[in-house]
Amino acid sequence: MKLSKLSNRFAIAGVGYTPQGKVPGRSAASFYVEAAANAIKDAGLKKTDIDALILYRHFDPVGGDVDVSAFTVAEQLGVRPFTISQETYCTRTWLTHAIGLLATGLCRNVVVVYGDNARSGRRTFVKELSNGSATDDLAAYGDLSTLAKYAMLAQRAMYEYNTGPEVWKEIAIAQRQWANLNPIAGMYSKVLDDEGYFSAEYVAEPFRLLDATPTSDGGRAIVLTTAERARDLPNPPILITGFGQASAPESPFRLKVNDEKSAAAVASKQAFEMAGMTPKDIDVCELYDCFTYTVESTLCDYGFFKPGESRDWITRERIGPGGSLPVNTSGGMLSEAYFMGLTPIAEGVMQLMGRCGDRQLGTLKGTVMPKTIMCSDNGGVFQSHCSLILQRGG
Amino acid sequence: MKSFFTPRVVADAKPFWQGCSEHKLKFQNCSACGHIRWPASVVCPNCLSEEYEWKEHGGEGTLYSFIVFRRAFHPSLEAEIPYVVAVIDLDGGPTILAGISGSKSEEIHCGARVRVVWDDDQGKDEQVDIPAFEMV
Ligand SMILES: [Zn+2]
Repeated sequence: MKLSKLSNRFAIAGVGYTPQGKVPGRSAASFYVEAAANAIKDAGLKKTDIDALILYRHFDPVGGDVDVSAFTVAEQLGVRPFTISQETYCTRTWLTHAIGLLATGLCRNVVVVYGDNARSGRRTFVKELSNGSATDDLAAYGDLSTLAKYAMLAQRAMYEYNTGPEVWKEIAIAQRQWANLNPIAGMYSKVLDDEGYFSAEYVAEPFRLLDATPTSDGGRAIVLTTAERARDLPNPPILITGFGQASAPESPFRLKVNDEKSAAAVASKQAFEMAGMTPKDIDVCELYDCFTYTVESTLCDYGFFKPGESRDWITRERIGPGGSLPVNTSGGMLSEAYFMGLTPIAEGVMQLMGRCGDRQLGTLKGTVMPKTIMCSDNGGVFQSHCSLILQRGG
Repeated sequence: MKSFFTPRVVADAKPFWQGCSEHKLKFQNCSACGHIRWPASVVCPNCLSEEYEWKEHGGEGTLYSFIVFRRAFHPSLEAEIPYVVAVIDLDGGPTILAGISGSKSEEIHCGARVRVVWDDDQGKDEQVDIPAFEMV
C-alpha cells in the first residue's frame, strides 16, 4: 500500500485535560475518567458517539490505590464502546489500533487516554521487588531503574558522538523557558539556568536529577476520528498528515546508539514518506522527553541533524521560545507534566488549534504560527515508537 | 561478585545460573547457525532452529557502556553507592549486563577491553554468583 494514501485521512478532534501537578486525594482512575470525559466534550461529541476506548499501560498501583483497567474507565464514563483495550507493556499500539478501527469503518470516534496519581502516590519507576527477590535478573546487578537504562545509552553517545551534559542542559533549560510561559506546567514559576542544572545531583551518572522527568498527578486524552467527520465538529480538525510506528524490542542494554533501524528512525521515515515531507518541512517538534537525552536522540533519529552534530545544533536559542525550531512548547514532560505520549501530542494539537495562551506560537514575540508539527511517542526504553506529523485542516 | 538481589531464575535460563555457580559463563550456541544467544530461549533468534548446546564462553569482551549509580533505588543498596553497572559486548557472543570490579569509576571507559572475574568465596553463602568484569 502506498503510505501517502493514508495522509490526511484521520484527525484529532478534541483534547481532554484535568487538574495536574500535585492533586492529592484522588485515584488514578479518576484522572483517566475526567480526561476522557473532557476530551469527548471538547470534540463536541456525546459519550454515545465513542465506539473505542484505548488506555495507555497503567503501572502498578501506588499509594494504596487499585489497578486501572479499561473496564473501570468505561464503566465510570457510562459507555459501552464497540471495543475497549489497554496496553500491558509500553508497546505503543494505540495509534495504529485507532487508525485501523477508523480506516475499516468499524469505529468512528476513538478516545485514547492516560492518567496517574504518580506524584501523590510517590511512584518511583523502580522495578518492584517482592519478598526481597528481584523480578528480573537485571536487579541482580543493581540495575533497578528506567532512568539508568536510558543513561546507559546516553553515556555511549557521549563516547561516540561527543554529546553530554552541556547539550542536555540546553534541552532542560529551553523546555523550562517554555514551561515558564505555561501556567499549568509543574515548573511554571521555577526558572532554570546553567548553574541550576549543574548543581542538581547525579542520580545515575551521567544523568542528573534535571535530566529526568518528574512525576505528576493528572490525566490527558485525545479523540481521534476521520478527517471527513472532524470537519463537521466544532474544533478545527487537526489532520494526521503522516504517521509511523516501529519497535526495537531487544532488552534496552542490548540496543545501540545511532542505529539506523532504531524505532524512532523507522517510525519517522514512514511518517515523512506518508506526508511527502522531510525534516525541513517541520515547523515545531513536540517530542516524548522522559529524559533530556531522549529529545536529542529523537531529533537525531528523525534526521534534524547528523550524529555528532548535537553539540552545535541543540541550543536554547534554536529550540526555546523565539527559536527557529521550537521543541516541547508546553515545557514537555521535563517541565510541564508526564502523561506519556499525550503530553507532546496534546500540545501539538493545542498549538495548531491556537489555544496555547502566552506560549501560543504566532502570538508570542519572535514566533510564527506553525503549519506543521511533528510529535513523538516512545515506549519502554527506545523499544517502541510512534511518529505523527500534524497539520491544521480547513 | 555477589548479586544485589537474588535473580528470579526462569526455567530456560537455569543452565546459565548453574554455570555462574561453577564460575563459568555459559550460553546457548545454535547448532544450526552458530549464533550465541542470551537471554535463554527455546529457539535461535537468528534462524529459529530449536537445536542448541550450552557452551562456556571465553569471558572476554569490550565495554559498550556503563553508568555509575549515585542514588540508591532500594534501601538495601545504600551501602553500595556509588556502584557501576556496565554493558559488555562479549567477543563473538551476546551482549550482557555486569558489574565492574577492580577499577574506580573514573577509570572506566567505553571501548575498554574486559574479561570476566568471579569472587573467590564461592559457596560461602546462599547468594547467587553473578559475573563481573575487570579492565584488561
Ligand atoms: Zn541459529
